[in-house]
Amino acid sequence: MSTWTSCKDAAKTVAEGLERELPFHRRVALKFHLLICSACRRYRRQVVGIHRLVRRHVNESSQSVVELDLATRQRFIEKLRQASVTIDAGTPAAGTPVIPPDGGSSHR
Amino acid sequence: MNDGVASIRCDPATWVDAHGAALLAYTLMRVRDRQTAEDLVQETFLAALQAANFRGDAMERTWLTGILRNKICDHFRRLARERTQPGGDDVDVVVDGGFAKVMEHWIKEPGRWVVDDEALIANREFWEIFHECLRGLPSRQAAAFVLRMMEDVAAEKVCQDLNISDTNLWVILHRARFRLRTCLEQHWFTP
Repeated sequence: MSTWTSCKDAAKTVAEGLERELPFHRRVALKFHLLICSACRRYRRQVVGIHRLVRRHVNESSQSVVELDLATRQRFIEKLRQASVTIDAGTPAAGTPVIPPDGGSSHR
Repeated sequence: MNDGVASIRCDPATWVDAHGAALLAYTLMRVRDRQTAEDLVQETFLAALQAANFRGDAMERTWLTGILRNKICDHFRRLARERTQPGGDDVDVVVDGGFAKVMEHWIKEPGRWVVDDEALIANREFWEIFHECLRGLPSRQAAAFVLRMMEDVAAEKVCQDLNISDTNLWVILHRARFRLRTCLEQHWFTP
């Protein structure tokens, strides 16, 4: 293990630290680097800031509004009508997957 | 047949009006391409129509969002699989090119700006630019970033979805963050 950390290494370590608990030696190496490097200190503050902002954005944006233009609305409705007819006729609509009982939330 | 599915069949317009705009907003937050976003919402409605387990009313939005989230994850999985990065994964010209060959110092140091949450969180123009930047990422970086950061999918799951190791994932996310920061600096913070 080298005791010297480049800015390139530091940038990578900063990002990795947002994903997982870093090994002790890398935490220390980053600390030392940041002590002497104002550019990387700014980098870290900005990247962490953007990370935090995006998390907030995702959590708070449920109230965000988009216009559903008339044409799109009409297309949605039309497709649904067609699909209903197909289902009622007894043939499953092509290309529509069956959703598992939990609403397909297996990604969590 | 229960009431929920019956109602969507009898009156798809009510469904589309009740949830269409919200689902589209949710999707556009993650998938910037309008056409793709609309397709994903459409697929979600169709899948809902097909499902027999619908519970109705208050649960409608949550349930639909669950289906939609799956569709979005599928979309990114497909993207990551279809398009391989030019030049392979060993090098990212933007990230690696951001540092000097010798000593690896910044070629252009990060500017003097800070992220002001309160000023930015509700700033439409800022998020427009953010999404432009997100759309500019190589597809694998965008997929990893959206799944991990925005959809909050577990790291192991993202690795499986994109067929990469955890070390790969850290590198890809690092590159995504690096590019996003650079892009935001250029187009928003110090234009």
